[in-house]
Amino acid sequence: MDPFSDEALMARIRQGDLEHAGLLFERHHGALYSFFVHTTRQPAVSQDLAQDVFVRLLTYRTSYQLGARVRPWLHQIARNVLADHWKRPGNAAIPLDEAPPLPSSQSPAVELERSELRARLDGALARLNPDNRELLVLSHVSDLSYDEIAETYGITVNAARVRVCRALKAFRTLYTQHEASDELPRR
Amino acid sequence: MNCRDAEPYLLDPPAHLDAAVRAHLTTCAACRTAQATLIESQVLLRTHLPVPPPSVMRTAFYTTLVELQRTRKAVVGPGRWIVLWRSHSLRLAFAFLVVFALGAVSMQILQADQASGSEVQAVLSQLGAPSPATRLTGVYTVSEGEMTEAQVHEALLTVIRTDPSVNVRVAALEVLTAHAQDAAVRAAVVHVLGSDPAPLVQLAALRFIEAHPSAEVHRALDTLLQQPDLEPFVRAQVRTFLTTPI
Repeated sequence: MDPFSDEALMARIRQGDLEHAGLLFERHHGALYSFFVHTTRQPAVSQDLAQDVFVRLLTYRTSYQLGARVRPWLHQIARNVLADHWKRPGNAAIPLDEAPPLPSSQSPAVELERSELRARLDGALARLNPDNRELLVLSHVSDLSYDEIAETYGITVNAARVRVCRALKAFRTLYTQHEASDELPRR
Repeated sequence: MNCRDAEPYLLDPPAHLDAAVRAHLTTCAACRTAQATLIESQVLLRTHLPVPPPSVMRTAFYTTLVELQRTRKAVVGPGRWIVLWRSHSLRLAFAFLVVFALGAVSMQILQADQASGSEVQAVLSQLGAPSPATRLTGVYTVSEGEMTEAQVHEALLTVIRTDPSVNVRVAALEVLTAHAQDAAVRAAVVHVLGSDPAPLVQLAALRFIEAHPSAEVHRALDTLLQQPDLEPFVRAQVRTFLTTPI
């Protein structure tokens, strides 16, 4: 086994060698942060939730089954963290028109040029049902394979493939509707 | 295969359906269009969904990690000692040790007060403390004291060269980012990049020099890539950096 694979690092963390958690953090905190940003639309809250995933990873490290893939396990934790977040009183999804603009990975100049496109994408994504949104973020931001999505959700690989495809289709429909409604007044 | 059967597999058909989906696509223009639209949506999402994480997350994580390591040691220790505590002789030995330790600590405090009394020495003593948590606190407070710029650089460069804890070295590199305008600091970090075996430190050094590309940095990274046991994730990051023109 590659000594620096996620699984090898997690095995060492499980034995109590917590220092190796840093490398897992470096590899995965960006994807987890994006996951929470797109599911909650609250960047500040997302920081805490992503942090909570790593705290749980360290706290419950002994529940990690040796040899199991780490990415699905981490995303299972992330989904639990998110579920716990919604259960707490006062934590509700922010309506789209009240949500602050999400941070971007693009430079300010590129961002200005693409802001309209970005707003359309965000709008379509926010209108998507939460399950489909979560699936699209897992498959297109966290870059989880169908195998890993199947493991995260406890479904078959084929079911994961079909669900992602349907979620993408639903997204496309909303994105196109949004595009059409944008263009309507100009005609 | 008809359109309804093909629809869920237009993007990545499983191996056993691949030929059937391909055959259907050659004869169905509507499904070809649907497939192109889905691929375009994938590209849009992959390009625009990733959101850069704020750097404060890194600081918070490493602080939590060091704190957890410290707490863990504290929790593991007493569990074992409680069992032994029942032994009478151990209690006597413990009492003797407490008296001895209190005396030693009092002497140290008196000596420290006489010798320094200054904030500079307090920070330096934090950086030299046996506990990684204390050293980490020292790293994060070093720039806030009365130390001169040169003293801060010297202290932090010593940490990144000699501290045994990876997390403390990473923290020192992050604090040094604010001092990256100093050529000597940059040179020292480039040296660390090639000499520190810890992947986390290599990544932190790489983050540091990302904002200051130079021919020297590229040479150092080329050398780093020669290391056969370089962690694959670090290798990928270095390659990405090297493809960016100076």
